[in-house]
Amino acid sequence: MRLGILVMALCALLAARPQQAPVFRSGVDAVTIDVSVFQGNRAIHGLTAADFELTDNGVKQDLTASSIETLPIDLTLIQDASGSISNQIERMRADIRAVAAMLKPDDRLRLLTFATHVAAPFGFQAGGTVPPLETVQPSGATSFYNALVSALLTTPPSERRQLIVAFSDGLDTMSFLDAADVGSAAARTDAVLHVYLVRDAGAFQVSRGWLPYDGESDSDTLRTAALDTGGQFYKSPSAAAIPTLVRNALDEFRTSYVLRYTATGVASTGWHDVAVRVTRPGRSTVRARKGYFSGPERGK
Amino acid sequence: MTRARALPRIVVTVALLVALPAGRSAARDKAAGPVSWPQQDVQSSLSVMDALELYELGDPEVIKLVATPRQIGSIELELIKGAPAWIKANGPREAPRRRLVAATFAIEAARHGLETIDGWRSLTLMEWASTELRVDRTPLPAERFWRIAVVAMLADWLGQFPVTSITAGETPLTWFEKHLGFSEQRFPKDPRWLMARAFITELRAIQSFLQRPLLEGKVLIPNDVVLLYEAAAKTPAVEAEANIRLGYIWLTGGEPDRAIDLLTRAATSTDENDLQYLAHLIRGWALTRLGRHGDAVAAFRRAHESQKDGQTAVLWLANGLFLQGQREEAVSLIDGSLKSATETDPWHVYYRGPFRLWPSMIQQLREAIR
Repeated sequence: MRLGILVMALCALLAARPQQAPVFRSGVDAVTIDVSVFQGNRAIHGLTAADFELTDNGVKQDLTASSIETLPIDLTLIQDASGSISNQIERMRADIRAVAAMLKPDDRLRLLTFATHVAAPFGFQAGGTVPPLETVQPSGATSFYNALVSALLTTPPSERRQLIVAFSDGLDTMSFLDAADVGSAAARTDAVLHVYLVRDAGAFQVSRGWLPYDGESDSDTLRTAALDTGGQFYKSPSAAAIPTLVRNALDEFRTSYVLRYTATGVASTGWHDVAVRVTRPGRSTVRARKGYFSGPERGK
Repeated sequence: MTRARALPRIVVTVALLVALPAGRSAARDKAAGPVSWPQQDVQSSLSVMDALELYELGDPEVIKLVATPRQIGSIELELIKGAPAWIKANGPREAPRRRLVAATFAIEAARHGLETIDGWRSLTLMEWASTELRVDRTPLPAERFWRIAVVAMLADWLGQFPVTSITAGETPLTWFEKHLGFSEQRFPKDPRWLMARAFITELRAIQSFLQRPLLEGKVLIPNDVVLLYEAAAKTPAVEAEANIRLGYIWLTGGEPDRAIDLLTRAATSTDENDLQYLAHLIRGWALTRLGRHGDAVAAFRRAHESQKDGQTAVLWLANGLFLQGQREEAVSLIDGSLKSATETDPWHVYYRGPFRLWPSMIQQLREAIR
């Protein structure tokens, strides 16, 4: 989480790892922001810190570093395991194995599944390891929002880069946490969140428990939550190839820049609006976290 | 409950036990030893009446062999054909108990069928059993368990699939009401029927919610639902349960203060862990709605302490702690919950009304009919 307190011990730990540049994923003072830059659909390479301008709560910050990040990735995959996908379980298992195989050995993968409950069939394990999927047995209702919040809140505040990719048909029949709670958690973590709503047919609607509500505004809130992390929100009209979508998200994540700065001239707690732009001439699209929370929001 | 058992039936039953595959029941294992047959063979060879015999001897697992969704319809037909003679076979004194055996067998089988889209056949099976039981003008005391179990089963089905009753017309709810009417006749003034009556009315209200969008985040509270739960809340046996449902109704109706009063009262009027859990959990939501986040976290913690496996309370407690900057405990709570996800969250049964009573009612029935 970018808003956690910067701990000196972490500095020492990171300094003791010569292969990797020290990165503080978050902190009151030291902040890192993942930034993807595109021209059309093509990622732009070769930018330096001088090519970026970043403001924190409107105050321009001095960037201390900018790099195509080589740090390992923690990928959290969120998959529907409700009764509605019981006829797709073998394909789902094959997809997860394919995702595990596309990670580098230093990367890690964990799986969260959501049905009536949210479960972790396996925690973070090294990329390339065959994932244990025997316990994934589809049944029950769907608690998509619970799964998203669970993933975001348990994102480790480590030097590793955090990517969460979630797949759902968008129909939630169990959670009482909602898209706003997802947004709230997303604003307090380091993770970049991609949400794919895959549906075969029909109008998109989200319901909660047995008291339904209009889904479209919820869809918008979920979209905002994902975009605010620097991630993406996709609604697909048909079932998509999950490994391909994850590969795209990973490729984009691997080619993104990491901007680092020590926040100055701004309050140490509360919400920080972050805006990033590329100063180099020419049209480009910048995708980055929209801000972060520092310190607790709520008191007694 | 005592009963005399005729020798010929024992012979038949032992023969059936020998014919069954190993591993399905302790009783059968004793008699048959480690013989292993493919399940498909057993399903095709075991008749419904054979299964009823084994069920009477105390093997509830036998239900799974005959009550596959495909066979629910044929169970009813076989019971209609064979059960009357089976009930009378041991004489008139045994007949009421055997009726209850057959009726209990029928609803255990029906429960399997309700989990499929073709739940109608289960309803007609339940209807057959209900009609059989009413042959005896004075019910056995254990029939009360049977009636509560059926209320639980119907509440489960309609609570999970309220839309079903829209597409299928009013029939499932009408069935529920008809069953409740018989229950009220058989066991007058039982407080369970007060809750069931209110729940049915609530289900009707939910159906109407489903057919129109919510109004500015609020649902319209039908007065009859409130009055029925308020009446139930005056009876100590169901006071806590009624106040929990009233509290939830007022919360979704946009009156969290009112909800908190009722839920606080509910929490102090029951020792049942599941009800304590629900009272504190929903109270936490109401406090959250009021922006009293510190108090809400305390309520979620009380819910978690009442039922450690309830993931809903874990997530809300963790989310609240996280927002207060207590990240370490929040992560620890969620990690623990993800590793031991179980099906024992009372909130997941809430919308299925009295379904939480199903296991204990069936257990008491099984013991009573032996």
